[in-house]
Amino acid sequence: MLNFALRRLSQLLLTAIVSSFLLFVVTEFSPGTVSRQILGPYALPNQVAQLDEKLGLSQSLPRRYLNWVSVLVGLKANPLGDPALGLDLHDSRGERYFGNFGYSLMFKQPVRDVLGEPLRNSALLGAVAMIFIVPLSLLIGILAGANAGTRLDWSISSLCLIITAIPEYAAGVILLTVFVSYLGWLPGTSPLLASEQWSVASQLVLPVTVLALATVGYVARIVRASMAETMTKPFVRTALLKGLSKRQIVTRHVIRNGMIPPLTVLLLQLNWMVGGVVVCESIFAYPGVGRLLLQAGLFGDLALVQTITLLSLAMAGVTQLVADISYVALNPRVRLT
Amino acid sequence: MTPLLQIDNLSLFYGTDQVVRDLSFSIGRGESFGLVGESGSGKSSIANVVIGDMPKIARARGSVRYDGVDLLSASPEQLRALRGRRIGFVQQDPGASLNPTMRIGRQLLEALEQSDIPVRARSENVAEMLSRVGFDNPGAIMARYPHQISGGQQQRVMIAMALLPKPDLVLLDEPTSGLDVTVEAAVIELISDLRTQFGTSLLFISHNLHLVSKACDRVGVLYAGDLVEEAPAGLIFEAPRHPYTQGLVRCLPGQSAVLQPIRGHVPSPSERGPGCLFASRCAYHSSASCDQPFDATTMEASHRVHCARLGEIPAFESVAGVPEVAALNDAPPIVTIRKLRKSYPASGRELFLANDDIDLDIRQSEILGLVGESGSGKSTLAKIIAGFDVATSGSVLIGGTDIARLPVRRRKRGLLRQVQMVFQNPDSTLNPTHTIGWTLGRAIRKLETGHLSRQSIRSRAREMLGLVALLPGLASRKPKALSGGQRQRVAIARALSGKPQLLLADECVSALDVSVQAAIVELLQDLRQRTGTAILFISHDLALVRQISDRIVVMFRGKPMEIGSASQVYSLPLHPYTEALLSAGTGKAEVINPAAVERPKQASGGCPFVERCGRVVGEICWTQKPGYQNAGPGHEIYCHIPPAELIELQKASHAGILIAG
Amino acid sequence: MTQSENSQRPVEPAASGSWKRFWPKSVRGRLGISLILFWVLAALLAPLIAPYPPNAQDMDALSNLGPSAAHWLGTDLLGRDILSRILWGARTTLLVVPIATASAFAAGTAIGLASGYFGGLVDRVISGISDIILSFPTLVLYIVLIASIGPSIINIVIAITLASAPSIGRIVRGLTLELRSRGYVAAAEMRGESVLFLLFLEILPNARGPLLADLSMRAGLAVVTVGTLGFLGLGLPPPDPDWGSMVAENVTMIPVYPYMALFPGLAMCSLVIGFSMLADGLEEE
Repeated sequence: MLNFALRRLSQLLLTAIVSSFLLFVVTEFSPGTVSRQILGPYALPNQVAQLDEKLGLSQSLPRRYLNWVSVLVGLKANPLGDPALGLDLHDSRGERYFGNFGYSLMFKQPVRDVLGEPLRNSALLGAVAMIFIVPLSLLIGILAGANAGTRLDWSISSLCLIITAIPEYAAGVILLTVFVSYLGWLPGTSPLLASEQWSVASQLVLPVTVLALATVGYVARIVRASMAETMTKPFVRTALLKGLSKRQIVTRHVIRNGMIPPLTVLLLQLNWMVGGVVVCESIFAYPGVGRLLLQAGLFGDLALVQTITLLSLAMAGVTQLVADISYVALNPRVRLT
Repeated sequence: MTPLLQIDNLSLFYGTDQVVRDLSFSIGRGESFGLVGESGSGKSSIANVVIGDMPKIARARGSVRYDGVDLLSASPEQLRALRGRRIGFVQQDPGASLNPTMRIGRQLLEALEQSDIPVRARSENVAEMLSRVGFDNPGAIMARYPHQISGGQQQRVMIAMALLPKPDLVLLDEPTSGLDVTVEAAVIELISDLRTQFGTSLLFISHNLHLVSKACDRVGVLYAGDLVEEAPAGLIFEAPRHPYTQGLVRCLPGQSAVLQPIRGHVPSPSERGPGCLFASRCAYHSSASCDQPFDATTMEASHRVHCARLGEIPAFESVAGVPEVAALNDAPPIVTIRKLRKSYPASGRELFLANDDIDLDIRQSEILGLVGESGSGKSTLAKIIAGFDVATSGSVLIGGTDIARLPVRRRKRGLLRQVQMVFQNPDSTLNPTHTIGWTLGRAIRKLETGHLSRQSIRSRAREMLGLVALLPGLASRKPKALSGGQRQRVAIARALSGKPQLLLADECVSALDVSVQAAIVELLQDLRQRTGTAILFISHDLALVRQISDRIVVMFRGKPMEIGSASQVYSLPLHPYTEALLSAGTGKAEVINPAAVERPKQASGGCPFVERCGRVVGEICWTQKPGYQNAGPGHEIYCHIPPAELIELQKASHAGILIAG
Repeated sequence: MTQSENSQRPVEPAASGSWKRFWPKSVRGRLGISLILFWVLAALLAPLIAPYPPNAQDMDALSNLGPSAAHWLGTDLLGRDILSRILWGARTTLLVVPIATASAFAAGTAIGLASGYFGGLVDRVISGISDIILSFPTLVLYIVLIASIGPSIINIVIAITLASAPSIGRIVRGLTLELRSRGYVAAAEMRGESVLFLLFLEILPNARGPLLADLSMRAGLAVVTVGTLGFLGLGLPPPDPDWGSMVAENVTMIPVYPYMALFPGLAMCSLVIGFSMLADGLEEE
């Protein structure tokens, strides 16, 4: 077990290094450099070059990556914070600390200060969505899978297929049309500030629904497929031949075995939901990290884009780890070597 | 007294296809009945009817009465009650029949849920049943998951599960398929034992006539959904009356001197007429009497035969005797294997030896049989020769080249031409996307010498089809349109297209029905005569190997235990392992240590067979590797005991049985 | 392949090479392919059947933006005909999507075949890189990529290829691993066929069933991606119509003029549903 944990951890570390490097390389491709952004479009090339020099941007790519990581883990001070540059950027946490993600040029603030509130909002959105997604998709998937081949199964599968196919923003538009434009039951935007007309809870309904719709359909289909396949296994027949009822067979023998493959999918869905969150927050003007990422991407705020991406990568890593562990927990056949 | 299970005029349809036709038989209380049939005979469908678990598209007609209850019209609740308490079922593939995520104990307890036994006593019941099916430590087994025990143990658990509610009838559907012969023998023994102890009736379904006749009182032979013959078990081999049964017995290895395959193929449901379904393959067929429906004839001793021309069918004459013994081959070796070793890293720092210093010659145009159970390393040897695996050390010389560590991708065309292979699975041996002609043409183009025109490749391909007795018209067909036997023939043609010196045949008939298997064996022997290709014939079936081979090598855990001519090994099996294998095949007394049968462990230092050996002489067997001893011209055994002494020991144990009996 | 054509061919029910073979057998599959064909026709015939040029502004319509006899689906705030823009928008989508899907499949198949067939180091390197790319949330990857290299057809194709090739590669790898142990592959190796021959003539053709289903599903995902990128402002530069940006332009108008965003959204849904249903139908076969 210890061996397994160590190996997984070292794998995770390696993945973290390689993916952060990849991320760094990709974002460094951006047409406008940091210096150009600071100095504005009318700056002279030699001014830009000078600033590049000061910020260490003219160094080689691996070197810059090392600098970036050093700032991140608190070994170095961020050159942007140097008062001599006159950028008016300072960090209340000090110059060097672990988890220094740099300054957001869009907000002229440390990234950590910018991220706090949106991160909490997005976590709320994700958590509420998950509360609906997990039980709903399992229930629907198990129901359809245990009755594979019946009319019920066909209806559920078709519905899931259609729901899954609807892109989030289209689902958003349809829901907005129905519930906001025609019925007027719900607010069209979700700034998360309680107004006279709309409570915060009512502002959460549509974003959560959009997020849940696509995911429920998708996960339910996977659960269904796995359940339906498990139903055809010889050991299910063994259970039938012992004289167990269908309910007993499904609850005792099929669900645990049928959940092993979809479990990974369900957890990786968290990862995929990050994308859904971006779209969802954009539609409803929800003040979360997704919308922030999009703004930062369009603005070219490298530090912010890098930080948010790093966070989602970290989340991906953790979910992967959780998925692996629960896979082992559910499946006695897997030996930890 | 009414029989326990009575089936009358049962017909079964899957959609429009009739899979079972007017079937009638009955099983009395305490009686065991065996149903034998090749693939497509409908035998498993009958089992499904009895347990009331038919596919949705199935329709049944007739009556199936179980202790007075008509199963075809029973409600789901009635069926469920019957299944849990009165009918037990042992499926094939025990590994898949147990829930992989539930402990064995809990799965066994479930079998008692419908019973009247008080909950507290159930655990004890389970433990007792486990010990009766041969587990020394039931508690430990109950705490395990299915993957933690061997295949034979899993089947014992399944048998225990079926017997736990003390049912009146137990159905066994191919209960030993996939198990090694020695394990199979032990399972069959266990079934017969338990039957006498519990007085349970059995319905034993299998493709294997030997097994069924060993375990049952009466045997029914199914052909394409028809019960063609029903007879007391003893009569099936002695005096089969139906032409199909007679044919079946004649193509069983070990029953006669020469295998006589049944020509033709089992008619598919769409080809079946109203008359005798065997007609298309029957030598006695006459359309006047055979092509209309007719009734079965009952003979003496509850022997029923479904044949319209029964009067004209000659009585069965057993062509008993041994296969022709080829003169001891003095031809020069074409392949010389020396000190060949293949090891894999196993758990911890141990090595698993798949091949353990093998010394072996394969002589020109001989058929060398290689027998062993799963894990004996016989396939590894073939893979190394073929180049799909590389040896750890040692050499395999062919025409002066050492190919032991030369993977197939690095072999030159001249070398590839010399060694070819026929694979086990007829379903995947031919590429389903290409036609037979394309496949053969490609092999001819790559393996024949000289440049060939398109025209000549085509005519060569037809020639090759002719060589394996297939019609040239098949060249334009895809493999899907061919039967398993036909595909295997094409695979043989493909392998022979470059006129190889050595043909490797790794379990190439084990997936085929016996009648087809016999035809392929006949073909291989014939091809050897005509082309002079040596064949390394690998199989787990000793009787089959004996039928086809000139010489035999018996492998155990990567080491040849006994090498000799076919008649030497078969008529005088000296090595204790060969002896055990032979006795498992024929149902004679076992000389192996049964408790150790399923313990897959590698002996360190001593003889690899020591744990299972019934003739261990002492400490030396555990600590020292034996050497090869000469037991006659070309006959060697790997044992500490001198051959003369082994002969004495065997005589003594046979005498022992006589006294005990 | 020449030999098979030379020999006389007995009539085989399965080999009737007509188009009927490709017509899906399940209800959902048929529905799916009909939806796709509808949009393909619409895109091909857009210049003929669209009532107005996609960017023409009808000043008369500004007084009545809603659906009318002149503008069946109404106009947007600039007086542009929504039906025409949807039809022209289909051209954009159906141009980018096949190119992106084909490119992703080419790349995914290549890496999948290589890592499945060769195994060992090749497999470990390819799988390692794939895993890392897969650990990026897809949309984040798109935002990072498109924000860095700029929005254009080529860049969208590159982004989709990079994001989906690893998962296609995974599927192909699995299929290759399974197929390479087949007897016919071993037989081909034993007659000395080249690696490319083995991969493309012995292995790949037998993987086509599951791959076709996946292809259809990926095409659906590509439609979503192209639309989503358009919606997020990372799609093709205006004024050329594409469904995603049409929704984005008009999403704020929903409380007043919901149809402006709804119709392009529905168009998008129907095409994606078409691909998903086809994928489902192919999977069942």
